[in-house]
Amino acid sequence: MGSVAARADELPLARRERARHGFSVRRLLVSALQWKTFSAGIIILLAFILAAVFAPIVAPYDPVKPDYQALLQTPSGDHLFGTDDKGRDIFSRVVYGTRISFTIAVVAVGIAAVIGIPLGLFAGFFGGWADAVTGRFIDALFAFPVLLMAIAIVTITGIGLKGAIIAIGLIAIPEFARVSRSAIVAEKENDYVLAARTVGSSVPRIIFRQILPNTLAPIVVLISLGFAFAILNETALSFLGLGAQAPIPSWGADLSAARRYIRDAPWLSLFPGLAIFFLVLALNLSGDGLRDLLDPRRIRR
Amino acid sequence: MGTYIVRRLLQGIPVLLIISAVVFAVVAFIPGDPAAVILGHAATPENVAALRHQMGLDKPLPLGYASWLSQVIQGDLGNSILSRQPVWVLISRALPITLYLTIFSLLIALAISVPAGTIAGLRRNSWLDVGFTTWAFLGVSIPGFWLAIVFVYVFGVLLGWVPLQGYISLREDPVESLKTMVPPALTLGVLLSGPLTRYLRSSILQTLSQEFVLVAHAKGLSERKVIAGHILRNSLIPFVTVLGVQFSYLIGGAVIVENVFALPGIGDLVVSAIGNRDYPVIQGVVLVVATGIVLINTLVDILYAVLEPRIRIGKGSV
Repeated sequence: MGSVAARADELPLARRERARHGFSVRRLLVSALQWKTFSAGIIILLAFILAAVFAPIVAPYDPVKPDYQALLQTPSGDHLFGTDDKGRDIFSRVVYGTRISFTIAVVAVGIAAVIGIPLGLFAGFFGGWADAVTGRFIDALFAFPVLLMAIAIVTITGIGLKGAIIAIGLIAIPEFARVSRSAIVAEKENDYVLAARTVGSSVPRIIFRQILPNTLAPIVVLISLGFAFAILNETALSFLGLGAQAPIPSWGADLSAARRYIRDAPWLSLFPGLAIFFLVLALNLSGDGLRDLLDPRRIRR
Repeated sequence: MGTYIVRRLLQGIPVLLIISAVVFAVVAFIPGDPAAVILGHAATPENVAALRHQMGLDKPLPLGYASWLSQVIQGDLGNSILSRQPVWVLISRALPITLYLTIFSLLIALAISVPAGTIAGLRRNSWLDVGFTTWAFLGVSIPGFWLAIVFVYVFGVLLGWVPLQGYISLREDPVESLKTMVPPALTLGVLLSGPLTRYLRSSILQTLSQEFVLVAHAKGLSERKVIAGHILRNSLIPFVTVLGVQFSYLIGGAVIVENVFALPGIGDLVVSAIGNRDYPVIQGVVLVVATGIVLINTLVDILYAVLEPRIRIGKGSV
């Protein structure tokens, strides 16, 4: 498709590529990075999923029960990541925190997908007036910084884990609507849509049974990146004291509590932060990798 | 040019109206009677009625919104429930601190990402490119508040660079002021440099594939002239529009960073307002920030049109 244009695009690059023919460790690393990202992401992700599912087996201690004999201990054989100001094993709290994070990610992304995807699909399908209104609305919502908007919504939903999940689900709606809208706008011009209309299929049937399966790629990618978004924002809300409340083992809330001990017990701040980083990284890696796998055109870049 | 600017400014009006409606709705949808909730124990029928009137809650929703909006347009954002001060006063005290933080952060982000993105784009697949691209990818996965804590540890505990928390204004003591602002601004700047580097790199790659670059080489221009006069110039134009979008991200990040470093900016204002159920303050901050972001995006679009004549001639896609 459009091979002349494609070749013209490659001209300067081709010149560069020819310059380094032969074997190159550097180039090997580049392609390894491109192909291995997805599997690296999935492997880290699997480790987190196993930790969440088998938390009672993986975690050596009760994550909530205080132990006043073991306050603020440095990492050791007994306590892999050390203990916090209530003597609780940080490793166990991080492991149980995985459960909380996955729950939040799934529920919040579920809310965003169930509302945002149909909204975008219908707006994109009908076009015209409905689309213009939805489009303006989505534009307007993008003017709110996500975290600030989440904070404002927490005023309605109430402080706590439930309120934070709803808030994060709601702030992700515009992005879901935008992506599914642009996906359907390109897809609805296809002949099969016309054919379905001709035989008298209803609009919801055309949208959900005919078009949706063909526009799934960007939506699947969006969902996996949405998990990362949800986790980053929930931990931020919990860090500000607006999300999960003590004694729930939440990475964000634990980091907030750890701040007081930054001088005397910095490891308290290290491990929950690393957990967030690696889980979000895994989700981003697999999301980006998924995009390349589902869209062969992108791999060549 | 004039018509473009007018058209672009007019486009902002419906967006601002929707924003104000959303902000109004946030409080209108609070379960129960928001006025009674706000006043708590101090609620008497008279002051509940007065507050309901101030917040536009004593009329049917559309009318209530209209009367609330007309007050807002006249610059009346109501009074804080807690301190009884006008919301406008609280915001005008906090906003300069947030702007100071965000602009400082933006400068740091640019100082990192412009050279990094340029080198990564021009020397594609080099070690530097692999390094910068990897950093850009890792960077988006780092939680901002955690990086802030890491900087508290590095600057406060390891380097002993005190004071680490609290705010000193530029007027009071410029040197100390900048010093206390370095760790928070570095947090946001480093985080922002990731996506900016990534964007500039792909923008440069796109420019490199344009025919005019080939022509410039063919004319026999020196490599330096081609890079500075042709490639960079054309790659930086789309980069400017991204900066507008990133401002929203910066303000969101400022909420977190202000919390960690105890800076009394608008993030701090809104977080403490939630705890106190100080709804007029929350409404005011969200409204002012969103309006500011719409204005910045409009300005960036106009700037874009000034730098890039093609936008003006074609129908604006926005």
